[in-house]
Amino acid sequence: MSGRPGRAARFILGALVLFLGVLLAARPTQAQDGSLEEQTREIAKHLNCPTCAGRNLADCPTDTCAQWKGEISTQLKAGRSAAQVTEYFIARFGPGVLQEPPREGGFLLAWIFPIVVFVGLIAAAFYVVRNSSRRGAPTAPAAATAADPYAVELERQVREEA
Amino acid sequence: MLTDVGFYAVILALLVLVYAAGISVVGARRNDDRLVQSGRTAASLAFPLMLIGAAGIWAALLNNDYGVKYVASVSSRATPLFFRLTALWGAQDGSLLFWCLLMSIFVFFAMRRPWREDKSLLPYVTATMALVLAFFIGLTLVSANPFARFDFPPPDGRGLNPLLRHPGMIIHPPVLYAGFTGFIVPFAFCMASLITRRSDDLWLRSSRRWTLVGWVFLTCGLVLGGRWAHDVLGWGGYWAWDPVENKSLVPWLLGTAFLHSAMIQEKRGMFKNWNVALMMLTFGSIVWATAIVRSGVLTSVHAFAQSSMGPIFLGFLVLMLSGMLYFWLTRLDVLKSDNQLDRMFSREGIFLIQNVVFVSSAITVFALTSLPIATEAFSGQRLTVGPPYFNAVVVPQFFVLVVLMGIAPLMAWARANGKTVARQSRVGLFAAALVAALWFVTFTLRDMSFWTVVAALLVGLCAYSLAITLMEFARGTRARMTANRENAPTALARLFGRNQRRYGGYFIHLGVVVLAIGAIGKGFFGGDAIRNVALNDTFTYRGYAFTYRGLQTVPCEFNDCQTLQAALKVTRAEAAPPFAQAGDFVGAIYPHVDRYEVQQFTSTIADITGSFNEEVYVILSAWEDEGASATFTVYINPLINWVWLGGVLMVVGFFLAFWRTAPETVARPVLAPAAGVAGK
Repeated sequence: MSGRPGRAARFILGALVLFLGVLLAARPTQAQDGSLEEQTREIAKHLNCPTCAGRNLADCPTDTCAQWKGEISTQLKAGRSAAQVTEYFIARFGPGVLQEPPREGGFLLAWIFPIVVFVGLIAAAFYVVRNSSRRGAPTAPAAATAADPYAVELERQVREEA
Repeated sequence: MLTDVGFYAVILALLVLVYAAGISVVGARRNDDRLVQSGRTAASLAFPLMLIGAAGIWAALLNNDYGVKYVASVSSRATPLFFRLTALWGAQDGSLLFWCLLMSIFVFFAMRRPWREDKSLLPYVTATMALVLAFFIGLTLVSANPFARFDFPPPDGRGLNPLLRHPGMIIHPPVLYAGFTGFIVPFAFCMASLITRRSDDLWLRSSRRWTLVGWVFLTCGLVLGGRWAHDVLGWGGYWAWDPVENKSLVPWLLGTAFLHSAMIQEKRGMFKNWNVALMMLTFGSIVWATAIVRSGVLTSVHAFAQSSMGPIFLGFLVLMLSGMLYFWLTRLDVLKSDNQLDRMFSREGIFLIQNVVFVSSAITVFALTSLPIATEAFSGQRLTVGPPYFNAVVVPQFFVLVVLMGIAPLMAWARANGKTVARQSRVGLFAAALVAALWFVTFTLRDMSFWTVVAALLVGLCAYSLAITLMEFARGTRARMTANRENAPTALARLFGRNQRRYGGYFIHLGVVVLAIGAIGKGFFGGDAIRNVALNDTFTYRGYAFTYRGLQTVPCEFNDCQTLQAALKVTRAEAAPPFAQAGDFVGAIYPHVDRYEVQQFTSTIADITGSFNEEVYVILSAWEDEGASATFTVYINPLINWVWLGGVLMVVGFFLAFWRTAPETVARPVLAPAAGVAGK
């Protein structure tokens, strides 16, 4: 009984899931050039600040954050790369210092979790609908509870056969 | 004196509510309407009593009664009148009292409404509301008593938290609290319906408008919060995925899902236990959100100080959740669907998927926001999850919702026709292609990267949903014009008037799409830079030239701070045809830094210029040699104003949906056929 529309719906959903996957897989690329201040800011954007919850290190104006940013600048001046500086902060303060969980080891769970929830819930919805439509006979279409003639007209237009 | 009266009034409110809960249940058991009415009256009394309580704090604030600890912590002799009044919600203790006051207002109006065909729900609505409100009042008295006094009063107070001295912050908490507390009404109706084993949609219809009120306050609260954060926190954005922002987003997501799925039950008698579960989850998440913010478990810009509330809240949550679960599980047999969902390719099917996406994003936000607590408890290491993560895993789900908004209106109930849907989505697809192409040529080509291409596609999706939604208005208008022989403006106006819920809802969708476009602009095309500049020198960024004109101290607004203000002239560095030439004057801006000695606090206040479509947001980050040179952080925020505009449209849509139709006059004629269906 599920003809083409059923397949179409599955196609749409598949496309949505795929789209979601592409967005999740791709990462923004950041240009790494410019002044020392710019470079410092670029690194600081990916770090949490201990005193400004919710804002990254670059956007936080407190004194502690100024010290951290000073540390980044000092290390950059000493010739260390952006990755090395970030490594330094992870080694010193743990992975919690990063704005997003690392994509490795146990931290991957944090990345997989939303996908599992999303796909799992959609699959569950499909499962429930398939089960319920198997159990019972198809039900009558909703009666148009029309207070207005135009509502009937609307409903007619929506379900009109091409 | 009045303060003490206030204190006793709050205690009395607590007692009255406990009485109301008890007597209502007894009245329902004995079928004695006098007892039920007594409970109703008692629950209504909470509002005037809480008002006296709030008046007690207000009196102390106005009279400089710094013997009251709370007053000393949020006010001072220098605090102006307006901020003394708003200081009621300036910190933990007072704002919890204020929260209770708002909740008591909702309880009051729910109690005073005319109870007609839903009278059988009254005792349990009263009992649920009274118990929840009593908990919050009890919590205030036990662990956040704003009436507590010092043994030796200080001569002056500390003054209001500088961050809160902003119009957005004055309105934001009451509005958000009203959103949270407003959901107590549908929640109470839901519980009452469960307890009395009703299988119909009476609770939905009776509380629908209240749900809308709670929802619009929540929406407003979120948007205003974003605006406040944008203006005051000096980071150029509007949404930081801050733990407390997330905590108010979760109820919004669940509540919005509920608003949609409730329609399915009213229209088709389906999703009954799902609706009950959603409502319970929504209210549960509200209590959870409050617990998180109030107990200081998570640190954030919003969090109040550490307090002893954690265990009390945990106890209440466990009790509430087990109560809800018990009533839900023991009533599952009652909540059977009247109809079956035969296929996904129908309006119901799309609603179901939309619900699933809402719940999925809510679960992700909830879980990952709670992650720091979990990781700290288990490993001692606090792992926080920041904006990049949420942008990657939650925002795509929001765009799925945007697409669904453009598909759902084309679907017929029960069974949609594939060909019809395809034919009717042509306009939308055309709009999508056109807008995406235009966007690509105008913006993406200037700054080509994977992400700007994605942005062009996303804008296309928004255009699709926008076009489909506008087509709905056009189609409805046309249908009216043929059916009723009306001219176009009349038909459109009557379309809204006669079918407010549907077209108000679509109007809200317009707001959502506009907001999404704003988010794309800011998220994908925004940029920021930090520049050091000498006096009277100029630096350029993204087509703007900034000339630094000096630094000076200016009088502070409340004379308890020192303000250092920079002056910048902003001009166009390059032409932006066809509107602007190179060298055109854009604006003079004065970003400043306020230093509050008493609170040991510095706030960096940005100044804003630019155009409606492209905001230029500048903060003063540092300065040397008394202003001989200074460092500025510049944010270019394209389309950020669309975010606020989208928020405004959503609120307008609410009024279109809410206006005029009184619930009882509409509910009655609908009731007869609905009851017939339920009893078939």
